[in-house]
Amino acid sequence: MFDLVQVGSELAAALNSRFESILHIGQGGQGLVFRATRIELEDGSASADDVALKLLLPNSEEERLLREVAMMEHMRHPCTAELLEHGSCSVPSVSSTAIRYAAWRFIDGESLSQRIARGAVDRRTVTVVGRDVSTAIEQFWNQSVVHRDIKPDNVMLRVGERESVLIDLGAARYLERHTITGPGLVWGTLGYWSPEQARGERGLTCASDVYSLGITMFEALLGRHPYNHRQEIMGRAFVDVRAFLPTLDSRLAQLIIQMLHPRVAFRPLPDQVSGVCADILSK
Amino acid sequence: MFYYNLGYQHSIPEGSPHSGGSIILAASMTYPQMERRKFRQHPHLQHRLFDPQLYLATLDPLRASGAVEKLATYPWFGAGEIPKYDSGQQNLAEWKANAGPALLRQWTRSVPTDPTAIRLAIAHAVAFQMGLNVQHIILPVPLIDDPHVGLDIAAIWIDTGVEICSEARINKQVFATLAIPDHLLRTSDAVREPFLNSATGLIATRKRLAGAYVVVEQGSEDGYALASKDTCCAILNIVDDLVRGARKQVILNYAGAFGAVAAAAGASIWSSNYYRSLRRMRLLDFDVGVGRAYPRYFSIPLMGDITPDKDLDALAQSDTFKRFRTPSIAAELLNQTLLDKKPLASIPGWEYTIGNLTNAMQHHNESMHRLGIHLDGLDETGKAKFMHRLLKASAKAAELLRTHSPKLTPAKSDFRHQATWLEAFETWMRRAGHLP
Repeated sequence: MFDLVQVGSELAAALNSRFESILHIGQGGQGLVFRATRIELEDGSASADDVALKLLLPNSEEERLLREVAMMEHMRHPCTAELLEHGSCSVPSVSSTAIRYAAWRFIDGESLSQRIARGAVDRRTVTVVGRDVSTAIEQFWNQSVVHRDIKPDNVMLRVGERESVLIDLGAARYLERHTITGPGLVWGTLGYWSPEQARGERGLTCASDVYSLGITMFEALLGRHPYNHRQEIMGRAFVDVRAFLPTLDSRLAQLIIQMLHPRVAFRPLPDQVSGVCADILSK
Repeated sequence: MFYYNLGYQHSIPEGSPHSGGSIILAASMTYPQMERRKFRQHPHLQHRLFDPQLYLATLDPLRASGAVEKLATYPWFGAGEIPKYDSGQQNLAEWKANAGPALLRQWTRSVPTDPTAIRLAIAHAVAFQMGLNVQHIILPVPLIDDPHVGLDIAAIWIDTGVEICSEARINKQVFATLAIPDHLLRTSDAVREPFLNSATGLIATRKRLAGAYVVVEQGSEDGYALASKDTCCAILNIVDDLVRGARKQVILNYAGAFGAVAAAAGASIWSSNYYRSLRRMRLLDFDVGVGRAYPRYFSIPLMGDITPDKDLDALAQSDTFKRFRTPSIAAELLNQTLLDKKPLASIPGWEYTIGNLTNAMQHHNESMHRLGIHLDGLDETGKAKFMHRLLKASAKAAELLRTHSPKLTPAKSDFRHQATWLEAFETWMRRAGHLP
């Protein structure tokens, strides 16, 4: 355990007092998260950015953070998290050596998993998630990136639930143009893998992310995971969403059924998902 | 739509129908010859596609020197500097004689792997096809000879190709080659199904692609007609995934008359030709020393060939020929003679002698063309029903030929694949909801 007030003040000093109002808001297996205001950019110019400051704990997967920042450095889209800066800093109460940090634009809201914890999510909000996260999937896919870990924990709902944002690219894979890598590791989270991801296939595409988004939307509508995270029974057959949700709007049900198709080629492309969702929302 | 798959001869026998168009193969002639070809004089070449055949990159220059000498002249194989051809200094035959040894020496039996070299290779292939004014662009992609790394490599070539076509604002439909050896399709379900799922996913998730140009390398079988159920089912799976699933198009080459079966399942173009080496893609077919052909009579009711060497006579004498008769201009006399139970030897142009192919080719081409035209005129359900009826009848006819007299010659007439084709088609029909 850390003295979080002490960590906050060491962090402020390590970052040359460019951040203030540092307040601890969360802790995961990999690191500590603080909310702060960035008052000065690295080049000295003034700013007033509300940020989520992630501090990577020692012995955590540094590679994961590095991969994420490399992907997000040039990505600017309202449906994806916005990386403001990253680097190393010295926080003695956490580690005797320099540790990695990343400052993300703060998203005012809650994660979809927090929202699901309170019960089934309304159809409109789920459609918003479908529209925004599929847009994010397309943005990544345009750069040959597959997220590989889409799940309610990694979807943020902004206050008002009119917009959502896909976060955490720690598991993402850039389809290498320059090298052929070794056999792929299975990244992601049990219960959200596409069938091809569960088999550890290397040639994952945006269709794998579309499948994971389908499960995420299904879970949100139900208020619980449809298969209790039992990956082994997923992807074997067609999923009849309407058997679980008989009163669900037929277009949304049909869309989710297609997103969960066991065969890649039968799933809709991300822009088709966002198109259908936008259309449903406009009615 | 039926297209001719054209080998060295770009012409077809006089009287053959023009068909929807033709596919021209890189291995058929050298780069300098190909770029000087005048396509306008051939009606069947008005709509043309060019197959860059990168999937042939592993050919052995010692065994397949004829093909390698031609392929090595195309820059996308990365075989090094190509000796310059100057029409003022030499004719093409002289150039080929001089350049041949160097081309064979430079052949690496591999494809470019460096990103810059891949980009350059694809750019050459696309520019060459634009120069030929082809109907659609076929992106070169290596043979996917491994279910894991092979797919990664294919993805690199496809993404680079798509990028190049977008940058160059190519205003034609773009197809990616999907070249798969049949040994990957004849494995267990646990290996084959994920592989096919990923392979079609490669195409389905690339928005810029109009579809796939599919070639299956048939290293595992040696007949005129595909006879492996796994291979047939896999081809129909690919078509189904891409056409019904991803709403893309499939061009299927080198599958002989099975191309018509694939067309009934949704393939938009299928291509074949009379010669065995143009009905199937088999790397061994490129070896020097493959023999010349004998005439064969293609029977639509049988969906296969019957040899004029004794078998057609045997059918005529047993009064069963009418069941296999396939009308065509080239076979008009033959059909009538055999219906009259007269011997085939009396029909000029159909003698069973080596190289006596004009009528047999013309008849084959007309049969394929008619089959294609008929399918093109039907809607999705009509195509499925028609092909199902045809395959059921052909399977029944083949069964009779196997079990009752007259006994045909197994090595020369095709009556062993029909039940397999029917089974594969019915598997597809159930999947697509045409059968319960």
